[in-house]
Amino acid sequence: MNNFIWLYDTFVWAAIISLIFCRIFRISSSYKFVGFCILCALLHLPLPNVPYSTLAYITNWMSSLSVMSAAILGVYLLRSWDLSYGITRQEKNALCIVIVFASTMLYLSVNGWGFGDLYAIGFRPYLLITGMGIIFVFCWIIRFYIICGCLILIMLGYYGHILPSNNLWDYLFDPLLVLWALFCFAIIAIQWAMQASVAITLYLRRSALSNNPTDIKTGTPQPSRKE
Amino acid sequence: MLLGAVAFWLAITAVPPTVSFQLALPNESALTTTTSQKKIIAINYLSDSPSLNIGAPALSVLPGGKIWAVWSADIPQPRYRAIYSDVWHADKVWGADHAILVQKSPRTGMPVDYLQAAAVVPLAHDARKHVVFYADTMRNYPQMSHLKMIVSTDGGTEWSLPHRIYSSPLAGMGLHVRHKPLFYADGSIGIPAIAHILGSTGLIVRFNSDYQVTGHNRIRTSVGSAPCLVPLNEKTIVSLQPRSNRSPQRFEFQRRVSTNSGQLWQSDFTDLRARTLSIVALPKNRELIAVLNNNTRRRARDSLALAISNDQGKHWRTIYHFEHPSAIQNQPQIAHKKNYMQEIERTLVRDQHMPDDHAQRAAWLAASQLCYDGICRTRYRDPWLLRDEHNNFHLIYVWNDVLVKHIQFNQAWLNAVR
Repeated sequence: MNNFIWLYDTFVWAAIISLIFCRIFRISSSYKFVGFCILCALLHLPLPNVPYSTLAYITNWMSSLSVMSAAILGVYLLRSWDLSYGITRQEKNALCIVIVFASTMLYLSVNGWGFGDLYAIGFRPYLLITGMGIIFVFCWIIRFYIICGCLILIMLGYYGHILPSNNLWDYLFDPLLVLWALFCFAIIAIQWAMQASVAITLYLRRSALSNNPTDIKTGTPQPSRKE
Repeated sequence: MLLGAVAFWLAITAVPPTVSFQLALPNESALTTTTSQKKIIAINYLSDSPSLNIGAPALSVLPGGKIWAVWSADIPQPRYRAIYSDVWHADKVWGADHAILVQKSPRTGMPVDYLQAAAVVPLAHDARKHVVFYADTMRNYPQMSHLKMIVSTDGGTEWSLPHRIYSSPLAGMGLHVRHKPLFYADGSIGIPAIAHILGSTGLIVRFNSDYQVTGHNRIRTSVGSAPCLVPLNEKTIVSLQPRSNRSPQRFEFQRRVSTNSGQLWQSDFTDLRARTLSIVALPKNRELIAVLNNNTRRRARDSLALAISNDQGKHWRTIYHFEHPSAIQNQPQIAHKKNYMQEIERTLVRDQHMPDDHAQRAAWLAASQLCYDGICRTRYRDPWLLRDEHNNFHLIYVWNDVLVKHIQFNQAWLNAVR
């Protein structure tokens, strides 16, 4: 087991709390880094009436989050410190859709649905790595370089045994990441639904106008009833 | 860079997996029968003093022929819970209880109770290295449980800190263990478990000899409890797992058979009805014997039956009731602890589990369903049956929620009662 897992957990949970605070309160980028460092220290302070630290309490319930989560948190953290442009909207949408689709399949198969157990293939992940390789090449071609970087970090983490798990799925997904992806996916779905409703409305209006015989004759739009 | 990454992927996917799924069974020709008397050899209590909330106890055979028992219980200090260990020596005496893990349990003041170490599975690979698998469980919230293990490399004196086991996609949460492990020919171990994620699914979590999780096999959807696995030969395993919990006193069971050491399973029929059970296979004619809670009354745990199956678990026939009044008369008595219920009450009062006032004590006893109006309830649960290298059978179970009881019998007695 990796003896430096506490460093990884400190970074991940401090990043989560720091990003939530930055989202709620408007803090200048110079103070954000200082706040992140203070959070890292605070996570190791013992809780009242409990013989262990806040970080130990959190990781006891939630365990270590995946490398994919850590990579995405790192991208957002760099962006909040004005050190990076962050992830593009197209890249984020694609990532969320892939995570939602894959995690749905994974959780359903573990729960007894379907013939195979997808989680079991993560222990001997030759098939999974091949699939990730295909996704890597595809993302490289369409220039989603942050997803490519995440995949490389996941592979390095898996072969470097960063996490205590021997299953590649645990390096790819965790429940918090899936919840975040579901939230983003819901927003994307609502946006798509709104765009689709606008497009359908426009189409119906155009078709209604084009079906009007007066318009066909004159070639001018018919005045509205109010006019 | 793209070409390098593709080459890296090709390199690591080119290695084929090499996994052996053959089971390792005990050498039956080496079994030595030491006693031929047709009787129950010994009855004892494992625990030195009564405890509350005893978790399901478990047994394992140590390399020297000793029997090693592990169970969990509350300790007198409030809000603490411990895993206890005890060893059955060759002189037919249990040693002193030894708490191998003590953990604080935030039981009071929390919206939900957090029960640590609800069930344990002990393993002893060699004379020095002992392992205990256990589940930290939150009562009423099985999804929040964690599977953990502690290791001792000095024969059970010093134990490591708990190490969490990851074998579920919900960050290792929702796993429970119970029942005897499987041993594979390559030295790996399969622990029967159940994963509570969106529903419940039986699993065999597989560990290598270094106790790292190397895989798991799913045994379809079930309810409630981990599968009870009985290896019949190097490739065939019978799984008995609760199927329906429509009647709370006993589950209907689902029988499944795997002919490839647990990778694929086929459903089959069984008439088994029980709440908790433990099964062993007899060496020669492959009969299965089970000790089970075959309760008939609602919410009762008053039946601890010995059942036998001649067709690999399809049909079961009850042949004996261990705690039936007529059976107890013919059993050897526990001489040194006759007034056990009074001792239990004294211990509970002393440890401030139970109020000292007589009226309050009666109310407490009624609420805890231990004794009421001088009538003590009979409640037996979580049996664990084990066959040792001398072909003797060891049964331990939770007796009235406050003690762990041990019964030893032999093949001759079994042949006489069947």
